[in-house]
Amino acid sequence: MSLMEAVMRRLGIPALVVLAASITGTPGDEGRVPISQPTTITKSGSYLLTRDISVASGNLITIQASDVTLDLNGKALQIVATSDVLIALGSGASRLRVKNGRLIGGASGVATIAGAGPISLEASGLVLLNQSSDAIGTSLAGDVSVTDCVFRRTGNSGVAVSALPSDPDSAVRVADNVFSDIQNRSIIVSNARTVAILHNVSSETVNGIQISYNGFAAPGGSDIVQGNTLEERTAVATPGDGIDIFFVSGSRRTALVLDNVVSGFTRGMLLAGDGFRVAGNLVHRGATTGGATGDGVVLSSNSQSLIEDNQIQGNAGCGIVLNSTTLGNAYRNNMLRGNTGGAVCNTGSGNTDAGGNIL
Amino acid sequence: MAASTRSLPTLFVLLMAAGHTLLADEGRIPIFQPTTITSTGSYVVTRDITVASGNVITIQASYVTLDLNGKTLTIQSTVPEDTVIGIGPGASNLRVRNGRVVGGWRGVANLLGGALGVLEVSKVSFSGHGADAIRFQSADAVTVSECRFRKVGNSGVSIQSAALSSAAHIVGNDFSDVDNRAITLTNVRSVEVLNNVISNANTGIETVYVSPPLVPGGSSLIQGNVIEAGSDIALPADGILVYASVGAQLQAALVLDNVVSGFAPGIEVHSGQGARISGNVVHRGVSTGLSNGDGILVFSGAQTLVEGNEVQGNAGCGLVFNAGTNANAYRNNMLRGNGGGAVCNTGVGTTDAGGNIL
Repeated sequence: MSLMEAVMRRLGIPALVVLAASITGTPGDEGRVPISQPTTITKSGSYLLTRDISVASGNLITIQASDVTLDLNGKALQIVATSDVLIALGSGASRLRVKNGRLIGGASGVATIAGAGPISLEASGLVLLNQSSDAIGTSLAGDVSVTDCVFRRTGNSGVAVSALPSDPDSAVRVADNVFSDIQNRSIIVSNARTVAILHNVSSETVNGIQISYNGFAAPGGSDIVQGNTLEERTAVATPGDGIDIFFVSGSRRTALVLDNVVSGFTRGMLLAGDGFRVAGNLVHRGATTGGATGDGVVLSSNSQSLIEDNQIQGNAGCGIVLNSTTLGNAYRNNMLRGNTGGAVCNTGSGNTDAGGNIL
Repeated sequence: MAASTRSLPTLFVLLMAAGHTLLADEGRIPIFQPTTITSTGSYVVTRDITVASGNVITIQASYVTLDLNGKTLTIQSTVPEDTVIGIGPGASNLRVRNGRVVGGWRGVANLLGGALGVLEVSKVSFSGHGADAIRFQSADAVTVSECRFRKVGNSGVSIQSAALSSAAHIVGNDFSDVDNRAITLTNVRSVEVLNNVISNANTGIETVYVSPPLVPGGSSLIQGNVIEAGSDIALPADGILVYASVGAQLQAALVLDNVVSGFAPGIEVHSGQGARISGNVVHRGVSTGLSNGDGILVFSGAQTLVEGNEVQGNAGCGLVFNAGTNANAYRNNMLRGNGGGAVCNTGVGTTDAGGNIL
């Protein structure tokens, strides 16, 4: 008689009851499937990490199913090597939610891998540390949300989202994240139709935020970049751009850039496209480098953009630059003192000083 | 054999209880008594814990998640240095959430210096501390969100750093009855303080940038906060203070859309360069003997823009540009009903850019 059998007999508990208790341990996990070792998820469902997992190399969790929720349960996944992906999104992965834990090391924290199709991803409450490449990187993105995460010591970009070309549904929201010590861009989004980048704070980043559109995206396109605070990376000789948005001229795409604090970049803002409204921002400490003069806000090839109510001061170059290929833009009510290259450097055509600028 | 058999029911119960705990905790390590955490992992508090003095939980490991699980950790005294959740040597990259922290000298604080990495505190209610509720020194990346602070003997959130990569995100917290500063951030390079509600505090929000160490830049966004001074405090100080010492004058801040009531002064920019103060309501500034009760005070520094604010009903001036200021500007402010006058300007090159309502 086994020990357990003796116990059951003494207490009058049938073996079936004990077995049932064991099985109903899973409902103790609220019906979620526990993960306690490197795993490939091939079925839809809700998964729960039940212990820290560390591997020397290799992708740690691979998702190859749709409609998967992965709760890291406050635990940590770690790859010691600087290659491979902690949570790899592979073939068949879509409509995914990853939340609540730490991702340490590896090349990427959450990223698409070869064979991945269109991805819908929601990442929240994550801490991503010491990735050698992008902390979160998705290609063929449909809609992506990254919120309430912390990125630290990232070898390339913090959030790198490349949307599915020509997908009219693509939408990206990156909000309320903290970025610290980023060796390329804190946030880069390519070809997404609708983008909101809100209230992120970033310190020691080579480039701040980049949104690009290379002509393959769906018609239109709208972006809002608001309330972000960006400090440049001092450890490099050539810091990049604070906010860099470029669209193919005539794409009918536009952006609101509001209430951001941008400090110490080669160009505080570098904007190419049509119909931007750039308002309420603080852009300062623009730094001269070999390739740029440390301007505040630069319109490189825009038309019909409006720059108003910004505080642009203390830059090594010009406060506002309207390049020779710009046309029909306007600026007003900006505070433009203390810019070494001058308040406004305008070589464009038909740009309007609409008054109220403080020089 | 008989003795062994008698012990079996107890053993069974223990086995079942242990098994149940592990399942209910989803793999987390339970804490039910004063504890020193020395291993990385995810911990869950499974019952309220009260001590007369000393720390309740001390963390001496990195990558620790501590879920308070809605429970309460209490130190019954407020003896100096006793900390409810103390961060000891070797600890970094910590997450604390979801419960109550009561009493003691401090709520969550590091006990010694050393780089702390990523620190996250969310959904924790703090009350009855003798000094700071949260105090992090040598902080790198910090988030404090959806917490409540009540009856705090010094500051609600106190964060210090000198790291180039330091950043803080203080969002959506409630503060009530704070004897010193609700939020104070020293030498944190990138800061966002958003949508906090502060009632009955000596000082509302303070970002300080001092040298040494001289970390280049320094940027802050302070937006959407509602701040009321302490009604029982004889000498309320600043509602919002953006301070840089001489030699660290490249700090700048956006101060937008805050409501500041009853301080002396309401908003102050001290040194620094190029703040933009816009869209705020600043009222009920009080004269304290140390301060005239001004609305917005540009104490020193250059190229600050004050626009579109509602600054009214202050005991002192609506806007003040001190003698040490240079090349600042103001416009489109509503400046009626300020006892000391609408604008008190003794600075150099200050520009009235028009549109002010006097």
